[in-house]
Amino acid sequence: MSGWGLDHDDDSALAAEYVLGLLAPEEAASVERRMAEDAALRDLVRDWTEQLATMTDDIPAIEPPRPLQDRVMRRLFPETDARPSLLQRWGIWPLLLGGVVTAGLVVLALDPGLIRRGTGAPEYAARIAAEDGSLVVEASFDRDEGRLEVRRIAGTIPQGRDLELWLVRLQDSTTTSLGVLPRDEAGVITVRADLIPEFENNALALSDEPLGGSPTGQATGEVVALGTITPR
Amino acid sequence: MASLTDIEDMIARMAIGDRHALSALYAATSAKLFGIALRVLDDRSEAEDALQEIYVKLWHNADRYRSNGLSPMTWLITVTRNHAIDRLRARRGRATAPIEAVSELADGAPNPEESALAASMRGRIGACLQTLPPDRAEAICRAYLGGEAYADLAERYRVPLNTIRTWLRRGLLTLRECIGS
Repeated sequence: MSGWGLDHDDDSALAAEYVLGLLAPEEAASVERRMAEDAALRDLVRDWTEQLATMTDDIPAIEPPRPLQDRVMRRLFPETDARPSLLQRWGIWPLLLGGVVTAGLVVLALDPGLIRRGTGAPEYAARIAAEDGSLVVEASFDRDEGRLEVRRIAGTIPQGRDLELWLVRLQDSTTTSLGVLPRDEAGVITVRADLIPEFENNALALSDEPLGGSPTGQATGEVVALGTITPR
Repeated sequence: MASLTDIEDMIARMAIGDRHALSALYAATSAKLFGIALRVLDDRSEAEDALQEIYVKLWHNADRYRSNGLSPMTWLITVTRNHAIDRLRARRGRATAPIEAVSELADGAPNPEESALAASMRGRIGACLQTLPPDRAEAICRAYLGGEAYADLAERYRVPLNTIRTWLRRGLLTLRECIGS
């Protein structure tokens, strides 16, 4: 096979040296000049880049501090109102849900007539809605069975994204994921037994997340809808 | 956890200015990249500054990702590692070539077969490094994660630069054979 003799070895070692950053500045610059013309050298550099990157496989992932993402967004988009998403500002939830007027979201009280009754009467219900009504999800919760029926009556789930449902505790502003909203219009979410007592006087929210839901256990995207849970 | 396809999709959407895609990418990858920055810089506040700069850089360079032929995680890891190394070197005050060329190193995306091959080799480098004499494996790690260039290594091992270069090139070729076999 031509091209796989000493020259190839030399270039392979050179590509590795370049990727590792071993070379002196002038030599690294000369590799870059050659790469502009030499596809084989570019391939070698690419292969070494792939291989050497796997040296980071064993480095543990560490959550950066939460405000860092806001700092990135403010730095990139200073012209916009870089308020953190509502889910990141749990502190204001009790105010929000207490009916204080705020931009962005409106909390709709439950209209009992909108909730379809199943076989057993649900004991709690919520209407989780976007301010402009572009997304409305009705939820009814059967406490005995830990069964949360959800029905999307307006709006769609964005392509390539999921909507994640959160239980919001109004006392201390903490949240727990209840799972992603089923893509079908109606579905059932089974609620963990330890969360069942927490449905009383709390709220449900939907956030926009990567497929499969937030990878972090905290909402990462925009809060698109929310609503209080009311007893029936 | 987001799949490689999801991450590729996020980068593609960032390239057309989708800010939500940046948030999604941050959510999916910031812990991994912060871990790497922290390993290289060994200083929490500097790693935090670096991570901000890295996501700013990823946002601005997302449109060039397609053309570099790297798998999406490799691209993110390499941008992170290079940025952290550049900061580390600036801290040390040593003049060494900045390693910033990752976005422009190749044309033509890999075909699926090449991608699958690259994926199957993941993890192998650890096993192959172990087949090298320990000091060579260590020197390679010092270069990749410690930003040490030949000049630094020559000083560290107290050998002439050309000697260390011959020695390490041999190690790298052995490594390549091991990986490729």
